Amino acid sequence: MNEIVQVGELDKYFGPLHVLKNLSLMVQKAEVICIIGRSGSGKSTFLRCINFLEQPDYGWIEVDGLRVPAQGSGRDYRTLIHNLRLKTGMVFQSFNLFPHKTALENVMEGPLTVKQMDKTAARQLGLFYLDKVGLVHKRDEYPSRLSGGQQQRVAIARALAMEPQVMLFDEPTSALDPELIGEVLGVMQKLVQEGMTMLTVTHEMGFAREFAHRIVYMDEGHFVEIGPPKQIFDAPQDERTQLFMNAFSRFERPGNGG
Amino acid sequence: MPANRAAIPWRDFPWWLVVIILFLVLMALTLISDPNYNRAFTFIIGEPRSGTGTGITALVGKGLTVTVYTTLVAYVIALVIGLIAGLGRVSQNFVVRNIAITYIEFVRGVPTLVLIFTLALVVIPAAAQGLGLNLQSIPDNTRAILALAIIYGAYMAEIFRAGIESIPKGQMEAARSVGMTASQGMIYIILPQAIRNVLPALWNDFIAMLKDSSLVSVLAVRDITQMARLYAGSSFRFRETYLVLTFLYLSMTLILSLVLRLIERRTRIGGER
Repeated sequence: MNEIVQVGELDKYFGPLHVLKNLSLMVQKAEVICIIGRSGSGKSTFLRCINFLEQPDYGWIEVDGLRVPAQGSGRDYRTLIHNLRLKTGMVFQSFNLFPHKTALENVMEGPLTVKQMDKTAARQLGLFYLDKVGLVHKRDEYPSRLSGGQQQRVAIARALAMEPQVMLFDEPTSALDPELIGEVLGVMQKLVQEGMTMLTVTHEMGFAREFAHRIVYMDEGHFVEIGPPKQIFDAPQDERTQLFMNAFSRFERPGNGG
Repeated sequence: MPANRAAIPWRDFPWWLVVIILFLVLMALTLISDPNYNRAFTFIIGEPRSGTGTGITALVGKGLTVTVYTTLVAYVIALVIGLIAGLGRVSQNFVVRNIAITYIEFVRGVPTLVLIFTLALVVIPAAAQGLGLNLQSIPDNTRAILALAIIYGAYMAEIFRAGIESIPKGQMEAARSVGMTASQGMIYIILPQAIRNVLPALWNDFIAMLKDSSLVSVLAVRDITQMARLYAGSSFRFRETYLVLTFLYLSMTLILSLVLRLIERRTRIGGER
């Protein structure tokens, strides 16, 4: 069994609003999943449920053999969620770097406080991951002195430093100026090639087409269609997927469009 | 930007500072030259370590030392109370949160002078009795300090709460996503940023506390206000006494608020994101 992430019959409500409707998904090790869909379709909420930044109402999440039910209480349940989070790394749309810490300190923070690693080892680890995202030379800079693209790369290094089993990307390039998107996608591409399991909510259709093994199209809290990029982009089965892809292709590929 | 500097209109010049400093300089000159003012001044600031009281009062003497000591100690205690109450105020636990809100609203709803009486003469003696302490062993000064700290703790709690709430939600999410517990996220990520944001407000409360320390004079604590009342009462030199007292408070608060401006400038530069 190579399934590293499993989501079972997940439901989530915001008050009376039913935002995730009976979602199930199995993700293989080293698989890259891109989740696409209109804003408000629930794709970010789904991703945030995987590490319990949002608490689902029904169903369960399993990462690397650790199964956590949607609901629970008490110390044991909190430990379960904590352990699940240690197996996942998350990258946010708005970076959320710690502004009072330098780039290197941002990356070292998790290993230091959560894993109680000693300072020298954490520093070594921090430098290793800053190097991986190509920002070792910025190690002593504060986030306010970094460009958006650099901040997001530090954020990726920060998540990687906890050595997670799976990386969750929540629209990692949506807050970036167009000329800065490439450097972040470049780092993500490197992770794909290294065999990192990734779930990415994105509007970057180029990235999805090229690197995703499977694409999930979400609409109104449903998984409307799941399939390889070829299917989703070139021969969508569901009418809603077709409409969405048409809207995109009109801008993305004016020559080939309908 | 030399062009900009030259363009500063005369309106931007800190005239208020000139007026206040003028008053302070005139008062200082009068203090030196006029023996009536000089006597009032010497009596009010008192001599350190010459007090005849018991306990802490004997240690800190009277006059200026009492005012400074009361302010400093009460402020530090108030910081601790304020931080705890502020954290309670934003707690997810509704029992903790409601205890914190009750305390804060209670204090904020009663005049400071009234609370000084109530806390020092009713609440603290009752608490001391409850703990089995001998009331005689708690000097007036200590009660006054505790009362001030409890009052200011409530105001500081609101400052800390505002500071914590000013930090974007994403910071705690990022902390949780790297595996921190809620309290680790609070201690290592939220609080350092929050406290930096509220430094000017906290310092402002220090200035306010220096002024409100004058209220402890109603408990016969011999701070500069009480010393002034004693002197005026026996010499009937009200004008000299209270001008000197005004001079003392104003010169202290002026220095402190100039420091505040420095802090504000530094946090503004350092705080950009």
